[in-house]
Amino acid sequence: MPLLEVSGLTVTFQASRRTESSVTAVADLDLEIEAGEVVALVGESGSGKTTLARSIVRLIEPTSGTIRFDGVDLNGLKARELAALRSRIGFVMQDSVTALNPRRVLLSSISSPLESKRSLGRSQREELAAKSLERVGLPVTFGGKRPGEISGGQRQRAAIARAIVTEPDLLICDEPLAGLDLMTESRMLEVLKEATRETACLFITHDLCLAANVADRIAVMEQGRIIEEGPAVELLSRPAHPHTRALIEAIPPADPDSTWRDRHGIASSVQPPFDAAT
Amino acid sequence: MSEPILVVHGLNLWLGRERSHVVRELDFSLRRGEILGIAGESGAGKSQTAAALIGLGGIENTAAATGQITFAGDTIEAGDFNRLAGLRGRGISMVTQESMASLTPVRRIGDLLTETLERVASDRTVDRARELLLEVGFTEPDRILASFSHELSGGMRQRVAFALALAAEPQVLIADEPTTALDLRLQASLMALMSRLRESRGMSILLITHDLAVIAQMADRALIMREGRLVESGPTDQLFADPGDPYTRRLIEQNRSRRGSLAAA
Repeated sequence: MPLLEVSGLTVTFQASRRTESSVTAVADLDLEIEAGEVVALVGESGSGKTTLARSIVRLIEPTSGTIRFDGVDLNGLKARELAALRSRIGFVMQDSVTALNPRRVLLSSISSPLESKRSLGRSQREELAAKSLERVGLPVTFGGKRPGEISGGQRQRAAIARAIVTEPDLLICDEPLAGLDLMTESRMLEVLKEATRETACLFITHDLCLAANVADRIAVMEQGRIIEEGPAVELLSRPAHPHTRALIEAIPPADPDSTWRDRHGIASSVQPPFDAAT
Repeated sequence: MSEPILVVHGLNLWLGRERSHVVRELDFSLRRGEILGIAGESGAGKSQTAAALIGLGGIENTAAATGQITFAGDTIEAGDFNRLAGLRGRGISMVTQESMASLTPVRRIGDLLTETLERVASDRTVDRARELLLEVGFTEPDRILASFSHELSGGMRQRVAFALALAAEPQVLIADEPTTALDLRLQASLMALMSRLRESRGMSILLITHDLAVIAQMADRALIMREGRLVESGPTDQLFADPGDPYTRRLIEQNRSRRGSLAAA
């Protein structure tokens, strides 16, 4: 039995009260994630990735379809039952700035998901939070800092620490590394790989390179549907769908490449060769 | 070989109350019609340098600045924020990661463009605004003129930001992470746009990004910065083929290995 089983999920938004037009962000979508498996969900902005992620934790109410977590249908659960299940799902949001309460010190923000566990006292919660900080490579002394006092990369780590503090069975990461420089990104990738060694993960990104680095399996999303999915290496080396091919083709090569430039209408230098000395 | 349009000499910047020294003894020049890439990790001082060139130092909390900036033969002290600010929109324009976020959401794109045109070019005409939108790749400029920024996608907003930057007919465009966080197909199309603008206008572009792959495809020359200092500079092809500094080599190799899994594709 898969850990997460999404079937026939549809999410429709009312786009405008004036025109009564609506937008279907997720359309009759099926997705399964096995325990411990890392699945990358790749797509461009507007393809429905974030809506899918938010529906899984029911931050958004699906229009139709079912979501089963560990065999339990999330639809029709009482608030308390839902809360208990939710504590087994960690969520790292796109924007670490807004994910952490700016007025709280990190230790308090990171330990707050544990508050629903009545068996834990405050000191136990803070002990687990400190352990979580260590797992993401932040010094325990950071527990006393507020989000405004640390860098973007460190905030991103803190957001991950908060998501894994309950030792969830599933971690959902929505563009957790967007906009980070390569060195920071590769450090964060190590942190995430460590955090998901025994935890299933739905990793959302617009970046196929990143997907290839973290995932066992890649699912490509376009206009609310999964158009292609498969083992990461296979999908990237033999993409079947034209959209997947277009996404791969848009990745700029690591080294200067006149073939790629020509194909994308980027002119090479119109200048004579430059003198390196000045 | 063309002469430089912009020369930065001995630039030092200190930031904030702690007066942290974020840019140290930086020298570089940008030639007419050249695309010069500046790469480095966050905290390297790339954006601080860009801000300093157009007198945003006062706004960006710069405690002190030394060195000189020469634009089109006119030398200005780096600490003279007011004179540098005079270059903004008069010779040098800037596009940043989310340029449009700093603009008022309650005005239509058409109003923003015509007002900018009036301010920088005494040319408050809708026709000119329409031309600029066509130049940055819109096929239905009238629809864009009538839109509010929140009605446009991130990629469209970034195109409008380029149109606003072009209103002043700049000789130099500073593009600070102009494609970061955009979808890769949009990134490629904005890269093509910048390349086209350089060719058609003979504009010089200072392209700042942490993404070495963007530098590799766009820049004639590249500078690598680290912790406020210039590590190395050279023609892009040469720099990527044979980096002289171990730090540059590390950045380039990291960039390659990130794409390693795609090599088969």
